[in-house]
Amino acid sequence: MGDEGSALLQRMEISVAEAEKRHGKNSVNIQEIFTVYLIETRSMNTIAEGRNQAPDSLWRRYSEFELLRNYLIVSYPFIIVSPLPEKRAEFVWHKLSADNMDPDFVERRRVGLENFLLRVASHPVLSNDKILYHFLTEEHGWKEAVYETGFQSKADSRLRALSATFRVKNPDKRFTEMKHYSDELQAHTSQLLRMRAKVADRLYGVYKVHGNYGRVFSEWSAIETEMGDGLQSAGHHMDAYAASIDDILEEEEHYADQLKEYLYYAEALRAVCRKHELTQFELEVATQDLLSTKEQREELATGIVRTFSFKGMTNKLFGQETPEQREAKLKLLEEQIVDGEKAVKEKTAERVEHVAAGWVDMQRFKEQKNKDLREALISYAVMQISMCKKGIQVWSNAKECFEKM
Amino acid sequence: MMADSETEEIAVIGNTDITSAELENNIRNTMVEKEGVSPRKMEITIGEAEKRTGKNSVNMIETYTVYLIETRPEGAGSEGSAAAVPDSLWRRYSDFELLRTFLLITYPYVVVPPLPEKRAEFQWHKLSADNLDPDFVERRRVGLENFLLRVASHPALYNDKIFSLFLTEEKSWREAVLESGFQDKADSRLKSLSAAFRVKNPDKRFTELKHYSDELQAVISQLLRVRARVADRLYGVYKVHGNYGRIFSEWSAIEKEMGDGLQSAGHHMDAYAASVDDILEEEEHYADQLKEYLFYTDAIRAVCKKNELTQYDLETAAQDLSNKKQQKEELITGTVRTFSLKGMTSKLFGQESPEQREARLTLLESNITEGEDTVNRCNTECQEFVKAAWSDVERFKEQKDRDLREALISYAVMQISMCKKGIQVWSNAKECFNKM
Repeated sequence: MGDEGSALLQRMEISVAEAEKRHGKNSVNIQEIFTVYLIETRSMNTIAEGRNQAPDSLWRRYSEFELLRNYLIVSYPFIIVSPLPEKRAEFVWHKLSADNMDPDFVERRRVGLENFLLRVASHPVLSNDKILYHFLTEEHGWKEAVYETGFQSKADSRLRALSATFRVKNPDKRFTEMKHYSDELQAHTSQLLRMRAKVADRLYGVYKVHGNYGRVFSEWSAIETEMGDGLQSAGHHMDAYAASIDDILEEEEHYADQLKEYLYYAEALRAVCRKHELTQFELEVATQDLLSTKEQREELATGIVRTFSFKGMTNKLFGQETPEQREAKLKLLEEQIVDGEKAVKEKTAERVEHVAAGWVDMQRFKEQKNKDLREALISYAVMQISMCKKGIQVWSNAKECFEKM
Repeated sequence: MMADSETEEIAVIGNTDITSAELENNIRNTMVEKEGVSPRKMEITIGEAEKRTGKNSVNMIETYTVYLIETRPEGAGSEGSAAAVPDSLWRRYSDFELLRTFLLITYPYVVVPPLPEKRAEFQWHKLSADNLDPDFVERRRVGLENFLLRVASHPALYNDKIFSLFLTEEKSWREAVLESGFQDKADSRLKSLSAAFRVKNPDKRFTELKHYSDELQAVISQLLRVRARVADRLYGVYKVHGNYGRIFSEWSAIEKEMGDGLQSAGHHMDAYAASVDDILEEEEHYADQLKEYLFYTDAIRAVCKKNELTQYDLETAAQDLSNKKQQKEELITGTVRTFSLKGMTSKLFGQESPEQREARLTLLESNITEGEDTVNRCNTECQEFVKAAWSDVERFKEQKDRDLREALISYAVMQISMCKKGIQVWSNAKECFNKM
């Protein structure tokens, strides 16, 4: 597997090359159509040596990617795990289909899945995972291997996590801040995506109405004598302009996908925060338990009852217990204290480890986010510029047409 | 049915072998000796518009807009003489309407330039349809100035006395127009309509022209409707970018390293959103040019209608003459070919006396002479009209081709400039993002 710390991606070229439709029976034995994606991998050494070997490949469907991600989230709870591309098309604007079978949607999903694999394979911690490697290299038997890890038992119950969020007393401030940040990030990216859908819709309208210009110019050319040819040509230019919007918006969909990735990242951020709250809460509970056990022991040892206890009350009602009984109870309490101290130590260590690792990953994520968003914005501006240039071309052609009339 | 009497005047304007420039030159040469101001040599501008309040015809207070017409002899400014200060007077829209109606009736063979629209049509969402809206008033000012310039450069119209007075006499102009008695020359609408249906032999060129004007009207209306829709949606696209600006600003508040960059990006988005207002204001100008030709189609149709009317008058006069001649023949030969009341009463009450017959014959003969005169007159009128009108139609066609070509070129140029501005805005934004 190579040395620890060197990301998988440095040793292997990974791509999601194709998508295909398959038929099969699903879990409730009903025929269904689903899409599978071809994952191709090639060793970097092979490429470096110039050997043009064919890549290894296998087919995976979306649900397998989901399983992989769930495994990673549970196994590395302090890592901000990259999100998958959306399960169903959201923030669609009018023209786009929300159909999962739509070829454009499948294509964009292919790109998104590849992106997911690249991100995971270049993560300093995640890239070393055996299950991930298995996912990329062995088609059959992978699912069984995942289940065998028993990761599902490590998953925290949602109820427990929710309870911790409410009852934790001293979560690390940095994680609380990150939770707030993720909420705001989510709000802003969804607003941006909504705006973008609106712009796309209207822009589409503007271009298509230029098709109407084309039609009117054609009709006009029929009744004019000298201007006829010029108007006809102009009509064709308008039609070309109207048709150009499809490519533009298809390209733009790409930037929407980049935004969406960060929208879903917000959920991954929150998951890490929740995990922290849970560990912190468990530590607090363990500490509290230890404290009350120690108190009980003290009371028993000194005979002073500081707190109300059922035993104390029954003692008063039915008389004190025998020295042997007392001795037994004391011993039990001491054992509990030892256990409790061990638990607190464990939980403290877990918490420290979690916080440290989480903080490192948060920093990594921040840098990645800044870089990606900067690039996405630059690309968006570049695309707008290219759109304007195309417009200049179309209208310059039309102008020439008009000048020749 | 066409006689070929021609006067010199008609020979000049009816000769379609020469170019329109030479045509104009000829007119100038033959007409320049006439007295009166020659507005062709004048600079005409409509400088301002102002609101006034006053009482209207039903004695109610109303607010209306007046326009300042300034005239100056051509080239006066460069001479630096005292005539540098323009003469000026105020006119309201209804004055222009009166002038145009006068010209329509007095020169029925001319395709009279149209006025800018009375009420705003083909509005897209943002524009107000209010006549007192400053943008509307400004566009109307431009349209009225354009109207005056067109009239002043029209070979048949520029020398009209009423037109000169319109430009120079503020107070007494209305009386002068009404005194000209032009209203009597107006053809009744009913008569025109009737002629349109019953004329048998209109000049084919005018019939084609009428169809052309209908089609042109349809095409231009469609263009204007499409344009309004484009403007509406384009406006929407730009304005939503203002929302982008707002979101970027909000986002910049929660980011540390990217904060400044996002803030700047927000400002660029706002600038982009704001740029649409100027774009669409400029675009309105081209819509107005299209609208002028939309309204020109009415003027064309008016000329075609007049042709139908003159032709119809000629056909009616010829038919009357033919009837009268036939009656005379019947009277002479005694053969009754057509049913007539006289014939019947003759049968019932006996023939008339030779004296009666003689009297009737004389009457008929004088009617026939009158009728022949009428037919000749109508024929001449018809011919003159067709020649004059067709020459103006040719002139109009060239003007139209020229103007529409220029309007389309300008529209393309405007679109190109819009794209260039877009490139500028987005290049700035990109630099901003690069620095983040």
